[in-house]
Amino acid sequence: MLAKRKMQLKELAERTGVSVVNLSILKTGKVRAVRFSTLESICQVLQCQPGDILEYKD
Amino acid sequence: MQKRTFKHFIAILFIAAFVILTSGKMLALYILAGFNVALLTFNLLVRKSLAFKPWFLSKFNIFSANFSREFEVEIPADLAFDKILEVVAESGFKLARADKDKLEILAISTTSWKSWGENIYFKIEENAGQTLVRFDSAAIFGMYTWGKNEDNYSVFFEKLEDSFTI
Repeated sequence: MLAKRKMQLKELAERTGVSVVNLSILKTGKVRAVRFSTLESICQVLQCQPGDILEYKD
Repeated sequence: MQKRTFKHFIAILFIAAFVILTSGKMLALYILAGFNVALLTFNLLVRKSLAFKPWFLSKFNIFSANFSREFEVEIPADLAFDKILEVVAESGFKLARADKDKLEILAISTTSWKSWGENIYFKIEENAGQTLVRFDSAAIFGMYTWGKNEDNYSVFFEKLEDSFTI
């Protein structure tokens, strides 16, 4: 999604208010939980749906 | 409750030997007070240096009670370093030094009228795909901390766990 929007992690962090570290951890899939408010702000900035950034792997 | 350690044993031996050798003379009290002031001053001067980490954590330093724990985090070491820096600030500790090359952090717990605060050291290591964090909390001057070192660990670890919910 970031590549599609030609956006860097740092810019996303600035615009969502989520730290670069937390976004990096989110990218690695190692977070315990994601708040709805965080998901909302990321989707708002990236103009996408939660399903575009979340993926279930078996 | 803090366990009796090798340090406590040495401290009691040290004090007992001093009392016996000086046989309760007034001069002994002055020497002891002077020694304590000198040691406290030295520790306060060097506390913000990572180079003196071995001094504060040495098992032979009977005047600095310390506490250690090691735990694993499921993120790469460089990310863990940045994460710990974030959590240190959220835990109310003051960052004193951070060395990204050595993956070492030194923070200081809150000081108050009844405490000099403790030195808190973090060392991050990557070993066989695992990221291990070593936490050390050491008193600046005190053979016993009444659980403050353990409290520092509890506060930090709780904040770290919470921080994985973003």
